[in-house]
Amino acid sequence: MADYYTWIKAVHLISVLILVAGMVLNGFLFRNVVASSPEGQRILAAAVAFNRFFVGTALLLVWVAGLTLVWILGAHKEGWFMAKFVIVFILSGIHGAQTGRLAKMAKSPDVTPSAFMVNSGAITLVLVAFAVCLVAIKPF
Amino acid sequence: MTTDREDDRRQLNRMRIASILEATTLAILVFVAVPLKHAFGMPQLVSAMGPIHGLAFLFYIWMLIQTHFQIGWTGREWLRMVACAFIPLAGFINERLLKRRQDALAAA
Repeated sequence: MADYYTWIKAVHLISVLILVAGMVLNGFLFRNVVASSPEGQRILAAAVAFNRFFVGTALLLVWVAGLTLVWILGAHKEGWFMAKFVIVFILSGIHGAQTGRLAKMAKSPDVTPSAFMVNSGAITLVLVAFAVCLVAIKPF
Repeated sequence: MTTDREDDRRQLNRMRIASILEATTLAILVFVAVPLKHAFGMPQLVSAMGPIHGLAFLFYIWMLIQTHFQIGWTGREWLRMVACAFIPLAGFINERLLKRRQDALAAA
């Protein structure tokens, strides 16, 4: 299994990059796209497809590869991992919320995103920063 | 281009699949894997089904949140669907209730 460790780690990191990029992009769209305009509708339709296929797949791979790494390392009882698990759980929830609201906006242009959605890109970056610090520093 | 209602029906369909997946993995875990482990000393199935059910549970919660932000759940529906994730076989009843809502959307 040790031979696969670095490959699984690479898959995990690539998936994290795609997930974070996608979630920040979603937040950017909530903030800047005017859903009622034809151009806005076109962008939102493309964003819904991109989000479902690429970012959704990346989220799945983040979980599968991440939990496999924890299983290999046996880190599931360590404090930093538990804290990171909670952060990733919240991030997954935010992505679920973004996905639902994005689909709603693409079909109902009169729907305006909430303040939470508008700021979801920034919230994502803050949470990811905490998660990276937990993994890199392992403070507890 | 699909309509708003068609999209909502598709989303409910995905939610039903998530519910069946979660209920099936929980049922296998509770009614097959755990008895095998404790009655026959065979822990292999628990080791395999544990992570699979964990992922199915995460997928279910993710779908629940996603569907809330697309279609919207009432407080009662939230309570029911979260409870169903923890009670073995309740996910199958939940799936039927989701199908009813899907049919109501189609009829409207």
